[in-house]
Amino acid sequence: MSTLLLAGSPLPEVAHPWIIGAIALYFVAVLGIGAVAMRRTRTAGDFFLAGRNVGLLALSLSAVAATLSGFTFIGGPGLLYTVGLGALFIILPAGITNAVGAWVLAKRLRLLAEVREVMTLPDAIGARYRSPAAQGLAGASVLLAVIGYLATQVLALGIVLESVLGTGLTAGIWIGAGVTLAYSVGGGIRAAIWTDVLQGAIMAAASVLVFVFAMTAIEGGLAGISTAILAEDPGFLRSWGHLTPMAAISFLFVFSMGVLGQPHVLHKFYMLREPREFRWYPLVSALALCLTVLLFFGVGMAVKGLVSTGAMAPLEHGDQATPAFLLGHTPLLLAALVFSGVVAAIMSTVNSFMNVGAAALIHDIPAAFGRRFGDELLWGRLGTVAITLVAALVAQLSGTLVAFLGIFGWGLFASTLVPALAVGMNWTGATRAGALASIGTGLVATIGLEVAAWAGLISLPAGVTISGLTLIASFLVFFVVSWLTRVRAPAELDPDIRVIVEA
Amino acid sequence: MPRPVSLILLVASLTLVGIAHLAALAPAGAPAWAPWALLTGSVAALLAVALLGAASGKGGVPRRLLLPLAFVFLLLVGGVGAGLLLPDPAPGDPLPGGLPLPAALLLYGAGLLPLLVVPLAYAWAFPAAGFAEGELERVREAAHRAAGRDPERPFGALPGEAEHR
Repeated sequence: MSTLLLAGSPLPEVAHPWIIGAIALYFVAVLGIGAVAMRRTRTAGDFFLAGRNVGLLALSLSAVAATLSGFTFIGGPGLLYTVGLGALFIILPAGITNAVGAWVLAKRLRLLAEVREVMTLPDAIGARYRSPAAQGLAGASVLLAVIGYLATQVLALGIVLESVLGTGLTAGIWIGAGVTLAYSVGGGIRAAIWTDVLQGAIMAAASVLVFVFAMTAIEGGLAGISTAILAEDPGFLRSWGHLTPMAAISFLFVFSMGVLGQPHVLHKFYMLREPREFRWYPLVSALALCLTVLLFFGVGMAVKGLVSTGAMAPLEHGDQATPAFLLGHTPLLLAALVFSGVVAAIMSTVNSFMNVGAAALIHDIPAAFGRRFGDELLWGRLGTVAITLVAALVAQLSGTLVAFLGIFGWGLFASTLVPALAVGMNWTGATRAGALASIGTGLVATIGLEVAAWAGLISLPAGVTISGLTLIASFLVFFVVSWLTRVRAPAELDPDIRVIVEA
Repeated sequence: MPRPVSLILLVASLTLVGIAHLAALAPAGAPAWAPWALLTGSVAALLAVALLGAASGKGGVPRRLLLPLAFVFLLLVGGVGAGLLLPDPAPGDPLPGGLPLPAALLLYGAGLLPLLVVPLAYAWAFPAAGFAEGELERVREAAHRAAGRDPERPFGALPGEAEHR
């Protein structure tokens, strides 16, 4: 979801003592949480799985905070302002996919954590197919995707901090990456989850308050806004806005199926202290998500309405929608809260990716070669630092390439992990060859097609996305190869894993 | 519903999505049926995965889930498909819920209603499709016995954990 945001576009300068103070206070809070979490992080299990001792509310808020990024507050309203209601197709399936993810993977992964020493999603793939090669290939895919995705997020953080602190982009990138690294490297996923709770609460509160202001920006509420828009640009309020039906519906496909392969959310399923609390996980997550995306809809609609009535000048770029609305139509204190919320949204995604990437680097890839680091806590911390430095350098040096890396990362997660993991954990007929072929297809097709598109060698019509194509290809290869090699399936499934798959 | 039915539904849905993508690649652009194929395929694929995951033991998918998920299928296909069937909005149109009718059906029908129905259906079917009372312990013991390990073996310890327990 975050890959669409802030593709290198500047935000207006909004530096103000209240806003700077709110961001500083927020930084102090997350660093304090990180310090406490560090004291309770003594093992690799603590660092990567929070000691498998996370409660329902923390798990739900953390999953929502990790799912949403700055896109929800800046890129999303900007996209809605630019293309109309078609932008909603990105978030349309979000409330359902929490439940689908829970049905498909929560139970199996939590059971797997009871009988095997697992701490990553590639671990689950390795155990499911009794294949270090599949684990390593999945780990390499995760690492590549994390660096691309992380670079996009770190750049977004730099752009926001440049805007609110007036630091310049390079300093913004390194301040943002540095603060996130400071609490993540010490406290690992425990710090990430605790800060996610704070970040999720800030995001939800900011979103609800801004929504109230947005719906009263024009007399008559939402109907008044719609009337103003219909008079100037009725196509904006078609179900797909200014997109084509195919383009909007392809968002629905990619974002509904693709979330079943997002490791920064799914690997939290290992961590729930009491598995029976999963019963309320989809509902709590859906409600939290619903509150948090109110700003996306409200600001996008209100700004379009204000521009339609002439009460606001047309924007040069969609990403200016939220800052322009906040500075012109809300109290400064609320603007300060929202900008803290934007930083929180990005950092909550960044810290989860740091942890997932470090685990792939020091745990999954060595496992493919039969190696294991003796002190995974120490190496996990070093891996976190290394990945963050690489991502920050990529964000700083790669210019427009960074937007490509974000899209590439999201697609890579989906095409390499969804079939082998989401279907494989629920189907005893899946085979090792099917999983390897599916992960390999996702990896090669995503890299090949994304690079070709970025270089201008191929151009796809509206409604056909590379993420969609590679996901379908990966699925079909998985089914076809598993069917062709079906005689091997029973022998490749360890007895304890069979119990879990059939549970 | 047994698992193989969910798998067949998933493969068929994904094939439909693939055909819609291929149709959109045609030089003349996407034919009129392509958005419908993409829509029904996408929603059916999502629900097929949900059914696959909700299948438990040899009993398959709990019956109590079938009606809510069929309802959600209709909400999504109907809410989105209304945009394909109804005329484009124009000034002076009625605004149910503050939006033109197709947009209102999209936002409230395909967006908000499933957001409540699906999580509640998940909670309702949880004892059958999630964790029943004692299931964690039962599965853990069965898995350890199947693998020839001590069924009383505790929670799989990760590196460095043992010395802190």
